[in-house]
Amino acid sequence: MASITLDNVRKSYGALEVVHGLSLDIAEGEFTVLVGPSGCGKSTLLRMIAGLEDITDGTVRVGDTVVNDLPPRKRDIAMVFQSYALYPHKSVRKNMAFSLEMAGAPKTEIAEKVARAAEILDLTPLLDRKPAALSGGQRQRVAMGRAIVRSPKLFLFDEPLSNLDAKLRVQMRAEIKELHQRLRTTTVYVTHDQVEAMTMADRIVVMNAGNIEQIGAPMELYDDPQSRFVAEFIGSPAMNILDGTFHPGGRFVLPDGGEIALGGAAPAVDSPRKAGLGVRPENLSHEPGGIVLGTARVRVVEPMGSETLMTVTVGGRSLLVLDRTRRPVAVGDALPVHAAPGDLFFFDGKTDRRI
Amino acid sequence: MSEKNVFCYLMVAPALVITLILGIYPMIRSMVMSFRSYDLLNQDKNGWVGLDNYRQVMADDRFVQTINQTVVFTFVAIFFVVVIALFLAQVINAEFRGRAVLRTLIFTPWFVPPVVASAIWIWLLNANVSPINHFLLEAGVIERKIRFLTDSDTWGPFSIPMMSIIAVRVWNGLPIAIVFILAGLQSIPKSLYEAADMDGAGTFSKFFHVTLPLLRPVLLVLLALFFMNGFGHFEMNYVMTGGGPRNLTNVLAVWTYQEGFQFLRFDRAAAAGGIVLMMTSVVAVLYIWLQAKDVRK
Repeated sequence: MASITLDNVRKSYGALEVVHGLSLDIAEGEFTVLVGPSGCGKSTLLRMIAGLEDITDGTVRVGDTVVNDLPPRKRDIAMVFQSYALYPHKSVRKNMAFSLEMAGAPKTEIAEKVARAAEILDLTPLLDRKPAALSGGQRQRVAMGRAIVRSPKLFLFDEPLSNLDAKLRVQMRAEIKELHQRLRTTTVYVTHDQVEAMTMADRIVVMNAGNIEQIGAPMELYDDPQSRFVAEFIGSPAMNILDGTFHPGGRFVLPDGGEIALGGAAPAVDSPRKAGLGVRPENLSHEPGGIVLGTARVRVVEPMGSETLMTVTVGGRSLLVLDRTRRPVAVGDALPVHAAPGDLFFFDGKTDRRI
Repeated sequence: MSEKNVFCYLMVAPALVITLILGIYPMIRSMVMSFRSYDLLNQDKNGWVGLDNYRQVMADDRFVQTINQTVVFTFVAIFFVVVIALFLAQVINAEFRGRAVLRTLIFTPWFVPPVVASAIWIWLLNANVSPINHFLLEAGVIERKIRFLTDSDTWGPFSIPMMSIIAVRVWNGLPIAIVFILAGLQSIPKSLYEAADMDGAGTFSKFFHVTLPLLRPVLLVLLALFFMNGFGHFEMNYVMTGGGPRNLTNVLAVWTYQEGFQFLRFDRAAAAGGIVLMMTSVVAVLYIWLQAKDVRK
């Protein structure tokens, strides 16, 4: 087990810089999730930690050792790939034993460790099968088995669940989390799925275009997003953001001329200032109280059992409303939409940072 | 039969007819011939003789020597072709400056038909004018000219002319082997090498644990093709030495040709052809069996 320290890490491909000087400390035993949209540099960062990509500038430390110039095999890191990357010609047992064989471990020790890992992951009956004879979930578990068998300093996961169906994803999510709770090995997990990030992480690093947008515990990012990007990325369904302009007197004017009276909830401004007004779908209500955002016309109703997701239009803008009251609503209904002042987020129109 | 099936058969028909006329019919005809007496100089005696032709050729020391040499030629040439092709395919699969030039150079022998290649090499290996001899003499590596195609000293089944022809066959066979292996290499997912990197494998371990096992299907096809071609190989041995000196570079196809078209003993030539057929059949059966084994797994 070891900590990871990234100090001003950069990655360029020729003249194109894709990771722009990132610094990050990951504590021993921590489960950190790097999350962001495709192309944000999260996988590149993970591969730099693994040693599969050169580091253009900055330093990566595992424990106290700078690993910049160490090849992957000397870093004592295990990685689970998106494609699982199981050796197709080797049995499950041989796949799991390979790293130990490469390390020159005695045969009895290899057998013992493989058996133990197989037991933890429920793979014992599958040990003599080839990967082609396994289901997606089983392959995923073998990939994890291959990682845990040699008790490395770090586990790296590169979008390991994206090839699984929805049900299996939920199951494997729980298994990975349970595995981490059991082994407490420092883990860096890359995903583009914010639900995975929220449910699994001790700490989430939200990345965007090669930069870190915000680092924090899952609920911290949900409750207190520091930028419009984080606000929109974390939380499902995503936060509604209305673009408009703050005017003195707590007025928020929408592009179509409609107005929302925010009163004291709005930031004080001397002159009009472009901004985004954010509110989460679950914080919108048609019960009276709080600030009135307008009258909404219901366009789509999606009942999901415990809650109902509605797409509504307010002042020409689409909003999502997550309703848990089970009040019957039909397409075409006109409803007032309210939000508590404390549930509103304001973002600067130019910098997209939280106001 | 549905309309679609008729169309499929129609499409396959030309190839099938050509194979039947030019491949299957002559093969059956020559197999039949191998069990008959068929001496163009002595036509009175022509008739069924059972296995006599086979007994006769197997009793001929020159023929047994030719079988041994065919096997040696084929095995040694294939060994070197595959080993060198494995290495060169890895080299041109890597990304570096000048890769395109190197690829073109490596593939050049492919564009040279075997007969033309043989003619060029006859000159390159001619003891008196060979630039190789000239270079080696100048460099002081050798004291007298090597008689690449005419030296009759032997070391077991090996001789200098045999080695020379093997070298030319390797040179000529390399490009196709490289193309096969390169295609195989490019179908191996990069993530497997990365996984092996993470698992602590070095260059050699990655080669033996990832590359080689995953190239197995490609190598099987390649070996089957090369063995079948190798047992029936004709052009280079025939053009470069005609099987000499002292039968040292003779191979089955050349022996068969000489027996048939020089000595007009078509029956004995057909028997030799039957033996080549048996040898290639062993390879084919082995290949099919190995493939079926892979499927069963």
